[in-house]
Order: sequence, then structure tokens, then C-alpha cells
Amino acid sequence: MVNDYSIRDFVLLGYKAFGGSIRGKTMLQKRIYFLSVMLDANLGYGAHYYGPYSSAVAAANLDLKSLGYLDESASGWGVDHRGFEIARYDYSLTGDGIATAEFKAEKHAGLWKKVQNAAAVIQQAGDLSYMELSIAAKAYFALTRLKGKATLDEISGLMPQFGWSVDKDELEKASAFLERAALVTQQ
Amino acid sequence: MSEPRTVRDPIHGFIRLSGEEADIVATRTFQRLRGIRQLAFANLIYPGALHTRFEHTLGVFHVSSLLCDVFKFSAEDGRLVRLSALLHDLGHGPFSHVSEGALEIFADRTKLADRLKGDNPAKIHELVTQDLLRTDPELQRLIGRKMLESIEALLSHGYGEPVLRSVVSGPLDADKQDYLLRDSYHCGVKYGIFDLQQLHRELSVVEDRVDGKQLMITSDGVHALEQFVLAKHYLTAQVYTHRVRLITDNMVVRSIVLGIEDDQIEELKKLYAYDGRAEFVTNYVRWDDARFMLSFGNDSLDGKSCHELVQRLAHRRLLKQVFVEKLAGLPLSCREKLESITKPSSRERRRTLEQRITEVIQAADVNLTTKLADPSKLVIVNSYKAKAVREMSRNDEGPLLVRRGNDAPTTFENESDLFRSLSSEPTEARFAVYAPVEYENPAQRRDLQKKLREPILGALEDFGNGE
Repeated sequence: MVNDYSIRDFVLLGYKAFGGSIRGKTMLQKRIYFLSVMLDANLGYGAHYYGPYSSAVAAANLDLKSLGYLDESASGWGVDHRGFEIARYDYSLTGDGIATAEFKAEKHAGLWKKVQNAAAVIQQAGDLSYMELSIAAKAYFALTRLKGKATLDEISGLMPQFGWSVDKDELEKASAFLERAALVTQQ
Repeated sequence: MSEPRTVRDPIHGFIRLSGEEADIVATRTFQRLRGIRQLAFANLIYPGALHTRFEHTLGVFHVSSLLCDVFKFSAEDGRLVRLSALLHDLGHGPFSHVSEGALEIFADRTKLADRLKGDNPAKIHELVTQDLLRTDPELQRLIGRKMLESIEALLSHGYGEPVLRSVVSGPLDADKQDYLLRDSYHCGVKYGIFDLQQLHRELSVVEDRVDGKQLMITSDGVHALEQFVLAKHYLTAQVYTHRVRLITDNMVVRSIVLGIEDDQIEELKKLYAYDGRAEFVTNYVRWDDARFMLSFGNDSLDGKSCHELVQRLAHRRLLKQVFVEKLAGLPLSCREKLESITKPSSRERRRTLEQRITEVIQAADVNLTTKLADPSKLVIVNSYKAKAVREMSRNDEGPLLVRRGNDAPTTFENESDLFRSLSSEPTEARFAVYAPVEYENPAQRRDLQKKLREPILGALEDFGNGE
């Protein structure tokens, strides 16, 4: 439970706020990560090789599937280093999921309004790919470890400590996104 | 200190114990594990499943020792990991994990506020293990307070490098490596087999400068890991969530609940109403499966609710599954309520639903065969999850990682050709009803389930709509 709502409710409202579907597990994790940052909600995010990751969010997503609120579809997408196809898992609210999200939005009206606003800010800040959003999440996560104030070089320098590798152009793009989302300011 | 010992084990061959380890095994607290069956009443399905926590713990110890060698742990870290493996299951009560449910229900949380703080509070059986480590005089004498504190920390949240914790708790921990092989061997199923040696050969430790040393597997170990994950999937489906196993587990917990609440059996209350006092653990370690069955199946308790259930377990007159459905297939209004129906906080709600379902079963002219005046006490609703095979490779800390030379690690799901090609059949949550009904053959069972389906669905819909 986070305050009076569950992490599952939070994720469900996240789906609703992002239009009912999210493409890929990475995109799901990073979008919910930014929502949690903006709402100051502790969803258990920690450093992981693919950026901030919360097992509680992953579990909530599984629960939403098992309750029949989410459809999952796998699609072949890209190839790995050996030329094998990598699958991507896309999620969308089912009819029951839409109805339940509507019910939860009414039940947690205050939370829903905040989630809705935060999702709008994230979307207006730029239509980032899963990879770009992941880099932005890594940059923000690293910044929080640097007490919230750092140069791009300092952030870049910290990245390898998490096992992350990000080049300067990517970091600048991430920084611009974070600035548009009002998560950071340039001084 | 005793001389080093060697124990012959059907799974791992010879298990070697140092003098210190042999002395720990010889303690009364450790020997008690001989009386606690690993899989509770799974022997009612698989007659060979009579193995106990004792041999499993020796197996976990052995696998941990192998991993200490693989990872070249220092002597100090190796001792910590090996002793933690030896002590990790000491807090198990009668029927292993089944006792955990009863402990959660009857713990006196008002007296435990200081120990149940935070977002992720400890489970009650974990507190019992902590108490044992802190107070058992033999363990204190043999191991010493300082090391026992480190063991307690490693078992509960971690101590030192993360890789130490990975050996005792994690997606590839020694516990799973032993119980999959051991349970499949004793159940007589062939699903739990995997190449332990190859798995160990390909495990490695990768230094993460922020989070410390982490466990990963090299890409050459992916096939052994596939076997391991599939073993977990098959055993879960065929043994751990077998219909009859779920029924017997629920019968044990219900016998405890009724024994405490209806029959007012003081012995049961003392066994499960954990309050953190030293007397609790002193009493707790005197119990095992046999004493439970003898005490509460004793004829002096004839007529008591608890006694009827214990006798049913002893003579394999089990409750039957009269309804089962995926949660996603049930009316929307009741899904979330049913998903949480087995939580201690839902007890009142659960009781109401069981009474309502009893009424609809009786209204359908189905006979509930029990000596109890209120048959609803033996009608049990249950919800449980069946994890999708793809999700079996994950754990709380995230996915298993595969090391690929100097490249960034990838997830097992992406590295494994087999798992990448698996269909996306999701994790399923199911809801079931067990009741004291009789039938003679599968056809009668199907007829009964068909007859009760619509009335029970109606009761569930009403339940969802009510408050």
C-alpha cells in the first residue's frame, strides 16, 4: 500500500492516464517510474542494469493481467547480438480493465488527478522511445544519487557505477526531456 | 568440537560436515527438523513424498558449500553462508509452510509493533527464526552471538556483498537448487531434473561498483538455466499447486483456526499465537507433524471441529473441489475481493462467503457429509496464483542476468531462445471452493461441479456487489 491506494491501483491509473496501453515492459517501468517521481510515491524503484526497476510494479502488472484487466501481446521486435529476434510485450486495458480503472479513478479522485496531470507532462515533454525514456530515467536516477545537483559530466561519470553506458548525445537529449518535464532545471 | 562427519544423501551423494557443522546438526533444535515433512501432506498424492526438512536442510548446506567454492568466498564469508544455510529452516512449524498461514492469522501484532515496521515487514515465521537464533542456548554456545547476528541479517535482508545473499535467497539460491531435485526424486516425478554441475560451472560474480558483487550466469550456462526454470515450473504445476495439495494445506490451516476459535484448544493457541515472548519459542520447538496429528486427532477431542479435520487428513477423507475458475473468468464485481479472500484481514468476509456458498450447495440438494452442526465450517474458499512459465525466471530483485563477455549483461528471457519463443500465456489467478461432499467416480464429480457452477457463480456475484 502507498498511502490509501495500492501499487496495483497506481499502475492501473497509469495505464488509464497513458491512453490505455503501453508498449513494452521497459516503457511501462520507466513511465511508472516518472509518475512515481512526480507524485513522490515510493514504489520500490532501485538501480538495475536496464535502468530504474521496481519488482513491485512488475508484480502489480502481473496481477492486473491475472485479474483480466490487461491484455498482453508479444511481438517480434528487433534482433539481439546473435541475430535472434527479441520479443516485446505490449499491454492494453481490456473492457473490464477500462471499467475498473474508471472505478478506481473515482475512488481515488485526488490520486487520479495527479497521475493524469503527471502523465500529461511526461507526454508533452516528448514522445520518447523506450530506449530514450530509459536513458532519461537512468540520468534522473543518477542525479538523485548526486544529491540532486550535478553537471552532465558528473552524471555521465556515475553511469558506469550502475553498469549503465550512455553517450553524451543521449544524455543531452535525456536532459532536455527532463527539463521540459520540469524534473530538472539548468543553472 | 566433534570430528568432521560425512553423511550419505540420495540427491548429492556424500555431504561433508566440519566438526562445528556436525555439532549444530546434533542440536535438539536441528534434529527436530526430522519430524517436519518437507511437503506436508503431498504424500497423499505422491506416496514417496515423506522426506523432511532435515535432509533438505543438509542438501541446501551442501549446495551452498559448492557455491562457496565456485565463488571462491573467503573463509569468513564461507562460514557465514554455510551456517546460514544450515539454520535457514529452523523456524518451520508442523507441516512446514502450512504453519506460516496460521502464524500470520493468530500473531498478536499489538505486541510486535516494533518488529513489524516498514514497507516490507517481516513474516511471523521469520520472527520465530530470529528468536530461535537469538535465544537457543546450544546454538549460542556453538556459534557465538556475533556470528548468529550476521546469520540473522543475511537470512532476513542481506549482509556484506549481495552475492552472499544470492546463495541463501534469490532466483538461483541453494534452497531451490536442492528442493527441486529432492522433491522430484521423492515424489517420483521426472520434472525437477537439471544439470547442477553445469549450472555451477557457468555461474559467476560480477562487480557492480554501486551495489557490490552480483551473481550472474554466463551465456554458456543458459541451457542449464532453462532446465532449472522449467523444473521449477513443472514442479509448481504438478506438485506444489496440485489440487489435492492445496486442499490438504487448507484443511490443516482450517483445523487450526477452528481448534483455536471454536474448540478453544489452549495447546493450539499457545502454538500459533506468536507474541514475541521467550516462552513461545520454547514451546514451538517441541512440536512436529506427528505430535500435531496425535494431539489434535486424539479421540478425547471427538466432536470438535478441529478433530474432524485432523481425522479426515489422517484417513485421507479429504474435502473435494466443487468449483474452480480463473479469476479473470468471474464477475468483475467480485474479482479483487476474491483475490484477497485468503488474507488474514479478509477473515470476516471469507466466513460470510463460505456460509453463503454452503447455503447454495445445500439448496442444490447436495449433501455435505460432516458430523458438525454447522457444515459451513468445512466449506473452504481459496484463491491462488499459477505463475506463467516465463515469469518463473524472475524474482523479487528482478530478472536473472546473463553475462556476455565484456558486453552489458542481458536478461535470461532475452538470451534464452527457448524462453523467447514461449507463448505469452499470462500468470493465472484462480478461485476454488472445497467442501465435504462425496462422489464415486469422475463422471459424478463432473456432474456435481456442473450442478453447482451457476449457483456458486450467483453467490459470488452477490458477494461482489455487497459490502
